[in-house]
Formats: sequence, C-alpha cells, structure tokens
Amino acid sequence: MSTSAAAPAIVVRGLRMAYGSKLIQEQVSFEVAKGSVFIIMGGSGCGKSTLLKHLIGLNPPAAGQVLYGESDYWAAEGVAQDAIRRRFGVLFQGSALFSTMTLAENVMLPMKLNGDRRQTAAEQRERAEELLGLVGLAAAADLLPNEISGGMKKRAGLARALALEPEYLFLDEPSAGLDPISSRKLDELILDLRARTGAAVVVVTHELPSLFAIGDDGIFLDAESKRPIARGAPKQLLESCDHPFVHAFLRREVPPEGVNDGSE
Amino acid sequence: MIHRRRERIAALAALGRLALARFAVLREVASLLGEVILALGQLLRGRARFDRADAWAVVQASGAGALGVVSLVNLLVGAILAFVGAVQLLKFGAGMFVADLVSIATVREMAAVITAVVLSGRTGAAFAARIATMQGNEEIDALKTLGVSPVEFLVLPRVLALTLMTPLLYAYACAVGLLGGWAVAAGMLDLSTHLYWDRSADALAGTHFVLGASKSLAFGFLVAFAGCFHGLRAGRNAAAVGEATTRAVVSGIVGVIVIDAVFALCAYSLDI
Repeated sequence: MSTSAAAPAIVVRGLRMAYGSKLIQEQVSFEVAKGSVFIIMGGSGCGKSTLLKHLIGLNPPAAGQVLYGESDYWAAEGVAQDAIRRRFGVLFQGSALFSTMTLAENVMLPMKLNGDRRQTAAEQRERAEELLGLVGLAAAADLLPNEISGGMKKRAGLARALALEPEYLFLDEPSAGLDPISSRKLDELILDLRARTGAAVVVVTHELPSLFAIGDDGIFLDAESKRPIARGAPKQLLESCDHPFVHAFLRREVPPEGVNDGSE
Repeated sequence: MIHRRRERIAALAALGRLALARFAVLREVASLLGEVILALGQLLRGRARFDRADAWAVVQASGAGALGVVSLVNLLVGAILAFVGAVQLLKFGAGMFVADLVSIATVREMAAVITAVVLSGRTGAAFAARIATMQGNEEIDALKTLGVSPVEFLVLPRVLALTLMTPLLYAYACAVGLLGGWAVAAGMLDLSTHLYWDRSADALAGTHFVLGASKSLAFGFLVAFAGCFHGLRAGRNAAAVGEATTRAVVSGIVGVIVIDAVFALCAYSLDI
C-alpha cells in the first residue's frame, strides 16, 4: 500500500471492465501515489492491458471512475478530456513507433501535435535529441524503427512518452521480449526517470525481476474470480500474501492442486 | 416434426444474425464517413492535424507512383477495344469508325473504370495494409493517446489524395488509351494518323469527359475510403493485414462497378 500522505495522483474507483457481455474484471479500486511506481500484476489474459487501456483513455470502462487529481477522465468531455490526456506519457507493449519516421521524428511528434506552439522545429529537434540521449540513443536519432533492436525500440518509445514531460507515465510490458541485461537497464532507466520527473508511473508487467526491482505498490488481478485478489508492493506481497495463486506466481512456482493457474 | 421446426428457427436466427452484422457494418461505414466529413471541416478551418510529409508522400504514391501501371493497362485496353471493334466493323466496311468506338468507350467508360480497378488493387490495398499494420503495431492507439484522431491523421490525407489524383490519372489514361487504339488502327487497318485523330475529335463531346471525370472522382473517393475503412477495422495480428487488404480490394472493385452502373443509369435518364 502506498504510504504517501499527499493526495494520490490517480484514483480508480469501482472499475468494471467488459467487452460487450464478457466480463473481464470488476470491483477494481486503487490509488497511485505521486512519484511512485505502481505495478499491475496478474497471469496472462487476466485483463492487465485492458485495465491500462481504461486508464489511458483508449477503452471506456463499463462502470466506475478513473480520477486524475480531481478530474474524472471518463466523465470529462472534449477539451477537458484532451487536457487530461496531454499529461500522459505512454509506452506501448510493441513500442508503437511510427515506422515511416526516424526516432527523432517519433519523439518530436507529440511536441508538434500537442506541445508549445512557440517552439521551433530546431528546438523540438534539440529536445528530441536530449530525450534520446537520456535513454542512451543519441547516436540513433536518424535511424528508422526497423533499423534498431527491440530493446532500443522500447527505449525510443520511452523517450517519446517523455516528450511532453508527463505527470503520468504508463508502461505496458516494458521489459517483455528483452534479454536480462537490457531488461535490468530499462528498470534502472524507469527508476531514474521517476526520480527526475516525479511522475506517477503505472507499469503492466509479469516479469518478476522487474516488478520486484521497480514496484512501490501494486494490484494483482485474477482471471478466475475476475477481481483483484491482492494489493500492495510486490516485495511485501512476496513476503506476506497468503493467497495461494499470488504466492505461487511471485515465487515462480506451480500453484497447488485445485488452485487456478491464472489463465481462463 | 419438432426437429424440422428447430431447423427452421435456426435458419431464421442465422439470417437475422447476418442481417444485424450487415447493418452493423453499414453503421460503421456511416460513422467513418461522418468522421471524414468532420475532419474535412477541420482541414478547411486549418485545424486538421496530420503529418504534412506523410500526406505529400501519399499524394506522390497515389498519383505519380501509379503512372506506370495505369499507362500499361490503359494502353492495352485501348488496343484491345480497337482490335475487337476492328474485327466487327471491317465486316461492314466501316473500319474507320474504330476511332469513334475507341475514343467514346475510353473517355466515357474504360479509362475511368480500368484506372479505378488498378488503383483499387494498388493504392486501396496499400492503404488497407498500411493502416492495418499500424493497428497491429499499436500506432493507432499511440495516435489516440496523443489526442489525435486517426481519421484526421491517416484517413483524410489518403482519401483527399486519391480523390484528387484519380481524375488526373483518368485524363492521362484517356490519352494513353486513345494512343493504344491508334496503334492498332494504324497498324492493322492502315488508318491514317490524321484520320484517326480527326474522327476521335469529332466523336468526342465535352459531356463524355465530364461524365468520365465525375466518375473518376467518385471512384477515387470510394477506393481510398474502402482501403482506410478495412484498415481501421482490422484485427491486431498478421493475418488481419491480409484479410483487410483482400476486403479493401474486393469492396473497392465491386463498389466501382456498382457506382459505374448508377452513373450509366443516370446518364441514360439524362440523355447524356
């Protein structure tokens, strides 16, 4: 649980996630403290990425609220919703870099679309190079996404997510598909960025080393009961959570007989 | 008896489901059409947000990039028309009228239809594949989180580019088609170049060009719209890209033929 006394950055209340009549999760409630790394955990297919889509405004929930500060994202409309969304930075699972643009152009795009209109193209380029430098890709600014590795794509995606100095940073499976060293470097980068920007970071992952290394708080979703089954920092859950599936998951063990295996 | 009744109910239910599915697609088409019109309004007010470099690349690919295949196909179609016409017209000693046949058929009908069919297989398919791939790579989601409408950013530039380029390609296709007809007329019928072009000029009227150009404008819009529509509807896997492309091409070609039939009926009713 977050111990921050300050007002939370994100509040999720009674969220119900469904695709048509198919229920994904319900009774999802949690708070994300400012400057913390919040992990959304759970087995494959439990609805982690769907929850993230509700948080970043891609899919409206069937019920419930997502509050950023005092503002309810899904109750807001038009300009108010756009204003909330401009405070987001999102790293997608597959990086989602625009394939026809160089890395620098990818990072400049949010600035062109939503940034300060007084900023010149040269200034945008300078800022993009600075952000690419921050993620260790200064030399790759003029390369296309198909000319770089998966790990570099993730870092470039992270640089793009930081382009508008977001208050809320959302990372969907940041270390998926990366080798252990790249994954570790990315974890360190996330912690470094959190410290530099003070952003509230929400991470969807089931990579155990990552979630223990970076998670300050978290929620564990269960595919069978379609409800969250645990709340707290991953390390704390590892030590004290007595739910057999969470226990087995965080220890990378096969759940005991009769306990669901996390998939539907 | 009960078994037969159950079968009948199942068949009716299947028909109902099919009708509802078709209706849902029509609603999606209407919704996208509305969004394109709104995006056009944004563009006219100077507020549309899209990547100008990407839009220019689309214009080049849709226009100049298609010149080669449009040339080849229309040249051959002009030549084929002349061959078919010559064989029949020569039986009546009316070989010189092959110029009339080729020019009217090309300008009024074939240049617009054949160009649209080629564009459907080339540009419409490319639009669908590109947008479907972006869907799979979460690039569309990335645009949405940036607060940018994918319709403004991706669909509008493509629809406008192809709608404006198709009439230009049609005009070019007319010239190439007539050239194909001339090659056959001059080579097979010994028709003089002067006579061929004179007869063509006499046979053609401004209404033929207006009709062909209007059609090509509608075809360009339809082909681009079909490509973007199926791209945006695509699933998020590799197979979905292929499916979207196939659907875009099929619906583009079928749509072109249907619209052409509507134009033909209208032209007949208006005595054009």
